[in-house]
Amino acid sequence: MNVDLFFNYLVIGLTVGAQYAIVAIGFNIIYNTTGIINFAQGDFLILGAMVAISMSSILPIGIAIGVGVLVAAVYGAVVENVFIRRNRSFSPFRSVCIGIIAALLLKTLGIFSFLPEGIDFAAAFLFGLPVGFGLETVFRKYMKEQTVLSLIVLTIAVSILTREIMSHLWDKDAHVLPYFIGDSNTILSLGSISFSPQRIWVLGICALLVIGLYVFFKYTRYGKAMRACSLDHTAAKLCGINVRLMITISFIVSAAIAALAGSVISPLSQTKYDMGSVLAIKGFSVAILGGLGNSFAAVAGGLILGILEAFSVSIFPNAYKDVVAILLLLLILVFKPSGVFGSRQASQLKEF
Amino acid sequence: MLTIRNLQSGYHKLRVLKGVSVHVGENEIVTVIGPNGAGKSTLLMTVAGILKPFAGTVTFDNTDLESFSAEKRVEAGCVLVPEGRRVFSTLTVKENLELGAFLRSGKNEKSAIQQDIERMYSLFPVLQKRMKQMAGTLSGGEQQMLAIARALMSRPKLLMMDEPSMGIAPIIVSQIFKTISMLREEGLSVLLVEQNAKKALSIADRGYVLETGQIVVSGSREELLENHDVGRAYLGKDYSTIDE
Repeated sequence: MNVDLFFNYLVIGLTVGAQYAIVAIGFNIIYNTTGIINFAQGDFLILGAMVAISMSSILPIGIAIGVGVLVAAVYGAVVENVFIRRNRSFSPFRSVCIGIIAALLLKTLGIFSFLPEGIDFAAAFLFGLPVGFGLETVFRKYMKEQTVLSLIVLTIAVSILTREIMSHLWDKDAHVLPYFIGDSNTILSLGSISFSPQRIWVLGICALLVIGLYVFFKYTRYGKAMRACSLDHTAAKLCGINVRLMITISFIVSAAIAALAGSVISPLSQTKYDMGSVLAIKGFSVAILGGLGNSFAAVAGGLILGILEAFSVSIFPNAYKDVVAILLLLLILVFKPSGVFGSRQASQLKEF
Repeated sequence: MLTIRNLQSGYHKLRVLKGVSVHVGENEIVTVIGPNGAGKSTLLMTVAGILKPFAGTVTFDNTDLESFSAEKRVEAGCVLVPEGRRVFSTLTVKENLELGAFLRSGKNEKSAIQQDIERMYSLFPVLQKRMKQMAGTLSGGEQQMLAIARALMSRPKLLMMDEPSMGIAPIIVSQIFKTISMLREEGLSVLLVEQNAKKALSIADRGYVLETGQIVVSGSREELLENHDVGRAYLGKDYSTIDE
């Protein structure tokens, strides 16, 4: 391999790795406040990118991405409220959310397909919303405190649900967001290495996200409170911190950063409704590689995996690219389950 | 200030408290003493809103706290220093103090909070020395001081403390207790739960003895100190007289 090729692979590896790092940080944020590993993390990313792509046809690209991030953030809050939170008192918000899901299911199943387009949607909502309130009224009393493990399994269900909803709201094709500068032929040359300027965007925005999150957790009131929640829920409550709110915020933040990362990388790697699960596995491998809960280790882990994948192409056929992540995950779980940068002692004290 | 009436509480189906009534007056130090497993911590955790009572009422400042979440109770001025200190171990001492004032920090009280942090440093000078250190690296006594200071950062009217003397050198315990009586002079009410009855009664105005979920004896400090059963069971009196 000559030097130019080496650097080209390196740049590709870094950009892909940056995306993994952001997914892994999303895992960590939610893991830290709740102990849950949110396997819908990759779907948050795809959802945000999909919305941004749809919006980009009518809005300037920056605003389109903003809308995508906003939608993903709201969706993150919805997931937390409907599926994760165990609140037995009547929640109108949860009722509406369940209602919307029921309506989408009715629409998907084609129950109202005999009605004209548009009216069938309205009919689905007309039936769906009362169903939501009905389910909430009847079943909220049976809400139980769940173990972390069952909540993790629940996030897999959320992932499947999200994917199916996306496949019906859009389609099963791959989509791309336009390049921010120029098009797919625009090349930036640095000496003998050449790459798309979009790769600079990806690296730059991911770096900004990491710095932004660092500042958020280190210096802001809510950031500090969320760190407190990650250590001790009871002590946080005794300080007057609303732990439930912090958990909701952790879902909002991880969904939002995933959506942003998904949008900037979309021009390079395309966006398809079912790519979220692969991303979740990659992000999870990275989070484990670095040591769960440690966001700086996640950055390092993400970049390592991205680079390994990029270089694997020069040795194995392209189809084996995804094997790298799984292999890495296996090796880490067998030889150093606490992660390369994690402390063994800390991991022994954790449930997961 | 705080009135607990016929409180029944516990974990899931296990009833630990079987009807406990305790009263803390304005500017008073009241102690609840009793052996392991009597329900002392359950009592405080219920008053703090972490545990939900099965029955009975908790009134604070003439308001029924039933519908109050743990956070709202802190806001109302009823704050608990939990058993085992529970400082935020990987956060710095200063960050721990700032989090104690979490509710106030949303209300534009920045300079007041800074002043209070300085005040905590003067109350517990060792915290100033360690302000940038992670709380988990502090010694037990220092962590206890930090936990108390963190609770005081919310400017409580009532400070509840769960076994502040546990696992701490006697000289540090005396220092902490001295600070508590000093805070009382400034208008704080204190509900102190202790196994170390001698120490607790040395600063308390009144006390209750809690055994297997029920109050068995109550009275002023003098009454409790002179009570024969209390003396024998909790103050080690018979033995000390033999020693002498």
